[in-house]
Amino acid sequence: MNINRVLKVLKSMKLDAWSVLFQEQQRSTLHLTTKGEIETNIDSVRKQAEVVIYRNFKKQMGDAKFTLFTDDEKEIKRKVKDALVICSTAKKEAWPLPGKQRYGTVDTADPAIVKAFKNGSAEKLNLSLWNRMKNAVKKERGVRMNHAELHLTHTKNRIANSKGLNGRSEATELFVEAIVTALGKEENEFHNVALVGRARDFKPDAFVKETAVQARDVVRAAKMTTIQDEGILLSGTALRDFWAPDLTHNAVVYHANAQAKHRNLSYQEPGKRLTWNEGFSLKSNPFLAFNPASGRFDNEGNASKEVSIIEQGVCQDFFASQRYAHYLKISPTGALGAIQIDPGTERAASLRTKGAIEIVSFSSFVPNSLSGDFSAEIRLGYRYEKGKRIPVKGAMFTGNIFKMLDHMRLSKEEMELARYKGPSLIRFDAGAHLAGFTS
Amino acid sequence: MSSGKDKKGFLSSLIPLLEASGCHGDVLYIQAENLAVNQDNTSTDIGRQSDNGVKLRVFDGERWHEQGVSGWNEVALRKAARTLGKVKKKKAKVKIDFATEPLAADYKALGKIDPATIPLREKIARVKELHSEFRCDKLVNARVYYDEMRETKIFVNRYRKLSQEISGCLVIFVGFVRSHDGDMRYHYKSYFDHGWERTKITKKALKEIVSFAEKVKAATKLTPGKYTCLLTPGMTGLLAHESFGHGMEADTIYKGRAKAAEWMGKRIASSKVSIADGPLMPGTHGFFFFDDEGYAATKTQMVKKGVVHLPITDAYNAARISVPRSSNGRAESFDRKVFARMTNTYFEAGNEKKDAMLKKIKDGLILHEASGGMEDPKGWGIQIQGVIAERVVKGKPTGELYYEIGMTGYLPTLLKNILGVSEEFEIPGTGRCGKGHHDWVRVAEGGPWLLVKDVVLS
Repeated sequence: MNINRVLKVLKSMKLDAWSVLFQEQQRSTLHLTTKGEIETNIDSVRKQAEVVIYRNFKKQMGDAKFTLFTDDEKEIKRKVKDALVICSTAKKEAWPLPGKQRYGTVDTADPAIVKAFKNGSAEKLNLSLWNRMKNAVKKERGVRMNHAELHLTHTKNRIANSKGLNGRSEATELFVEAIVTALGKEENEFHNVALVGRARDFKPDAFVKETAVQARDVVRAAKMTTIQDEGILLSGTALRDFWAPDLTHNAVVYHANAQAKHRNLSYQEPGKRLTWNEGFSLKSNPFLAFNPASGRFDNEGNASKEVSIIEQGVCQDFFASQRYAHYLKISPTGALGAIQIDPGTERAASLRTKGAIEIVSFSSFVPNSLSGDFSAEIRLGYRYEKGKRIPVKGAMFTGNIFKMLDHMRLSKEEMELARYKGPSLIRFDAGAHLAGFTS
Repeated sequence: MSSGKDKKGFLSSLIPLLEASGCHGDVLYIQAENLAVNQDNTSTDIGRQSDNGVKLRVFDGERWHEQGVSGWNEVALRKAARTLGKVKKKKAKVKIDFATEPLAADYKALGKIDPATIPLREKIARVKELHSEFRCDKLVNARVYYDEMRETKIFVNRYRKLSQEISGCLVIFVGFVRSHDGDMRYHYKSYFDHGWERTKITKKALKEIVSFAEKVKAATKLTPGKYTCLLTPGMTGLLAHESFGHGMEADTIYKGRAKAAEWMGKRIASSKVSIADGPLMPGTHGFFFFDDEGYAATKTQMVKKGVVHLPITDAYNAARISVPRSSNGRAESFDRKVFARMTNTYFEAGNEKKDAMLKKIKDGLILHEASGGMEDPKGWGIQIQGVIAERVVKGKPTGELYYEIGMTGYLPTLLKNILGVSEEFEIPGTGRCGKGHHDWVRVAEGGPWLLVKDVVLS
């Protein structure tokens, strides 16, 4: 697909306004099965354009989106005509399109991954990482790797609109998934995922070691049979998933969405105290180098900005697209970045008190973004007892995030993972509980 | 732009290029179009999305090599086919059943009223009409979501030239309410069929959604414990899908990740219990005529009268574990891998009346619905979240609801605790299934009402 041909057709149609996000994505994936055999390798190129057509109706405006995989003029005109019909039936309060603007700088494209795709050696890069993982597994006792996937992607974006906006960005990602089974009286597996923007940030040995240790701990973990309301700690991917889940937003972040506010679904009010915990500050940060959540602009071309959502327990700003920023009379904020939480003042060791349970991994964490409720099974946790760290599993972690914030303590130590930067350990002493059962 | 027939002809011409070095080759063309109309109290948002591309594959005797090309570009496709045609054939380590019976067919499932025959303005007007019937003062916001899909796939290999065109009309009503504590909550109901006739939804049905949302408003937290429960078809289906079905995927079994492997041929439940999967159920969200490897739709009996029977498969893993192939090889898109995936997954109907089962509950719950779940094929743990339950006392629902419940436990224990299986049967599921949190495909789940004792809830 030729971008300039698409733009030429749109310009020739004398539309009220339009916007196009072009994306070219190269992908190379390797799927491994048991015994380290390759089941499939896939090389693909995806070229597409997301087009939005706008039509003015005095104080109102209609908008309609469609996808293009071709620069064929006839096809583009057909889709635009259909979009214009949609515009006339979906009128809403008008808003201005973003114009030309300056974009911040953030490293999101790893030269090594870019070069691998350019040279046709992306599959080789995946294979070399896989070989290191295989060798690392051999060094671990009592485990085998049943499954692995490695996905390398290189994405180029270009945004343009009828107001002369023009932006380009480039990003790379390496996604690795592995499942390791630990052998014992009863076998148990552990599922681990790494997502990085830069290939060298993925450490195959450390990743395999962490997965193996946790797989072995799952085998020896006792099922929790009690109920616990305080001394609940989150760390590692469990902590990241709590604040920045994969499939949805954490409720604190959801309620800071200007769209939710406009739809009368949000509690957020700038200046309103969300929690008496003055140590709690949370923002969106799209400028963390090589963090997969980072980006220079959103899909409308608005420059990404850091957005302070909660400052010392008090609600601050919304994150907003162009349309909802206009409705709420605030500035648009560009792409939502990684969730960044200010560290606390206490050492992690002091939070790990006797009887505390530290959850390191959930089976799946998909909270209710609207209410703040959640319930998730603990894949692996640790109880602290007499100076020892005893693995536990199988309990349900349930609660409501809004009821937990007042009773939250944050570690001084920090960590960064995809979509998150902040304390490496958080402790809750009310608002949630762990419930275990004998089955 | 080529027509469907031309496309099939062109794709067929790629097979000799793919097989130039003796490997087995196949090609899958995907065109997926989607219209989404989203109407709530504040605005109407409408958009179209599509996915379009070609998956080319060769199998060298040990593994698959694939290329994905977006759009329709005959030059790029020939180039990709020639590249794959250079892959050298190896000794057949994995003996895939390539289904060599010739088959050429064109299938369609477009409903009684093909949605493509309805003008766009009429569709939008209908959604707005449904919204105006649905919205009311009892709801903080009311949303009607209409999602129309049209999926065209063409599969060719040495033996087969197949095409299918499937449409789907999904209507979802979401009622938002504010609880007495000030929390925002919601309740939703979805409807699906192939044709536009699915948008006929009665005012009575909408009133019931609002009425249930009002109960959700007052819902409280459940005390963790074990309860006698009556599961609705939706919940039954979720159990079949999340807690059992994923563990019967052939790749999971081959990788030594499935407890089901230890149970093949063994009794896991009473003879009242049978669980199956199959795409050829018209009007369901998991419907299709052939899978993404060109295998004609089949039903797989995963549990037959209480005995674990057969897994669902893709071609590669069926060969690896030496079981018959089933029509479950599915990919999210042209640039994602084919995995063994569920389609419509369900407990089969029994012979008891649902109302009679309800009367047996002295103090228990109806489990109405859930927001989702997660698989645990190795441990057969049950992990279902966001459950909404209703208290039942002396066989009568009390209207008292509990919200955001997690359901856990061990699957074989739950299956043994099934006390009754109703004759009433439904497949209401309209969701998407991921392998973990990626590779999404449309699926459905359901079954009868199940009466189960000692269900673990928190």
